[in-house]
Amino acid sequence: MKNKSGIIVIGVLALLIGLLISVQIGTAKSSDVGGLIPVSKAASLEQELKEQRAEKEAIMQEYLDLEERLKTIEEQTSSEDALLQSMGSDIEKYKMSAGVVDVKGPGVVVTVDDPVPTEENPGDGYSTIMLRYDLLLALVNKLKDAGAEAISINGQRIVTSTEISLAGENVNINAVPTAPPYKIKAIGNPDTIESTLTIRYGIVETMRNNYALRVNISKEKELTIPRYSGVIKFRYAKLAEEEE
Amino acid sequence: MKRTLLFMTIFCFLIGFSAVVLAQTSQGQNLYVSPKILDDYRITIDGEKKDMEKLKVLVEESRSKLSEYEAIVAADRDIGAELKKQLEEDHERYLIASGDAAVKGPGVVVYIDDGKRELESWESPNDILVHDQDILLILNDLKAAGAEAISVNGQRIVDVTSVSCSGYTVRINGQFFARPFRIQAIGDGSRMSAALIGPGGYGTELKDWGLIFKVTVTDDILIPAYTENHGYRSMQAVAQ
Repeated sequence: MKNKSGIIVIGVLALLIGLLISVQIGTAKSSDVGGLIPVSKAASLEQELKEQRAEKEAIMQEYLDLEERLKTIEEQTSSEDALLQSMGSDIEKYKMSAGVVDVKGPGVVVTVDDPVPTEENPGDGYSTIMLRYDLLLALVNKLKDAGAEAISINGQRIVTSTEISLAGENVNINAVPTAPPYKIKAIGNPDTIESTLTIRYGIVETMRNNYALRVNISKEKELTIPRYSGVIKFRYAKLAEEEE
Repeated sequence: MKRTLLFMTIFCFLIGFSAVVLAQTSQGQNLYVSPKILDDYRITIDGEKKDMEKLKVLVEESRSKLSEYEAIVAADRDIGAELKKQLEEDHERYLIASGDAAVKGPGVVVYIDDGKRELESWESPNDILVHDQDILLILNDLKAAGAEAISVNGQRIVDVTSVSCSGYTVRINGQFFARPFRIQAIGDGSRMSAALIGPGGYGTELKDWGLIFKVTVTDDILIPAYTENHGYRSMQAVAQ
């Protein structure tokens, strides 16, 4: 009798293990069932993204080196010319306001991600924050209102000409496609910015309560924001004083 | 009895082991992700590629400038004149970009005002009033259509300009403005007006709500300089 009860226990356990193994194999094979995909596929894309970013970093470094060499020549030549010198320092000042300089300072990092997928709302195929990109626009506006001096979204510097627009299935920022999670960096007074965003019935509460978006705000002592990656050129606008 | 105990122990080990293996392969993440996550990755990768293309243009520009300088130095000619030309060019474009100077050019004038129609019983006055978000969306559409310089009621829009509702007025660059709103934008006039009043354009949407919305394409727009000071208290340039 005692032996039999042991056999029953073993039998049940063996059944459980068998079930466990078959479930694992089953779900791993049928990746299209239920629209789920093994995490390894995502990992390979993550790797590709990392490589892409490293490559971009290398090009950025090349650019900075070239600029450094140009600057050396310019400084050598203009060292005796007061006019050229003052022009050079003016340009540096304008470049800062134009957003073509990497900057650092204290500020906040806001991350916005789509709602956690649930049974009723699996979130397949569409992204809440991408469809409601006007929330990003409103968020950026609030950051500026709170005195942010430089802002970037997923590495795209917000300059005067920056648009956030739904183009097909992508949200383009500076004509570069972006996707969630959105990481918005802003340099400014961290406390002011944080309390402006988290005010009751404010932008963050709206995003969380009305759209179930996952919003996280963290204050940082120092963060860096990259320069605008495009070339600044004007085809239509001319300086107005020129005719005087 | 002893045998049962032994088997129990072995199976407990096995189950514990398989749980560990499972936990390790998932690395603290969900084992399965939704297709949306993969799409997001692909879009981000595309974005990085696009961004890299833009950087390559920057690199190309600097490289040709440098080789030009080096050619002049090699030929032992005076580099001063070439440098002055380059600096003047940079001076102009970054001055326009910073918003610190008035600019002129062709473009569009957009006029927006609160609706004049009577409200239906189920509507609220908000439905026919101009809001800060309306102005933001119009500015955004103009930028997407390639606007090079924009002003709202005479206030130059720069990178740090916010448009905030404060009761009956809207605050832009720290100054208060009430309806109507007059937005000027320099750029490709027909492209910008098409973006606003074309099908699905935000201007069309506002008109459908009963707001007053007009776009005029013109050849001669003057946009004033940013009147505030570009003083930076928190940010500084990253030293290379």
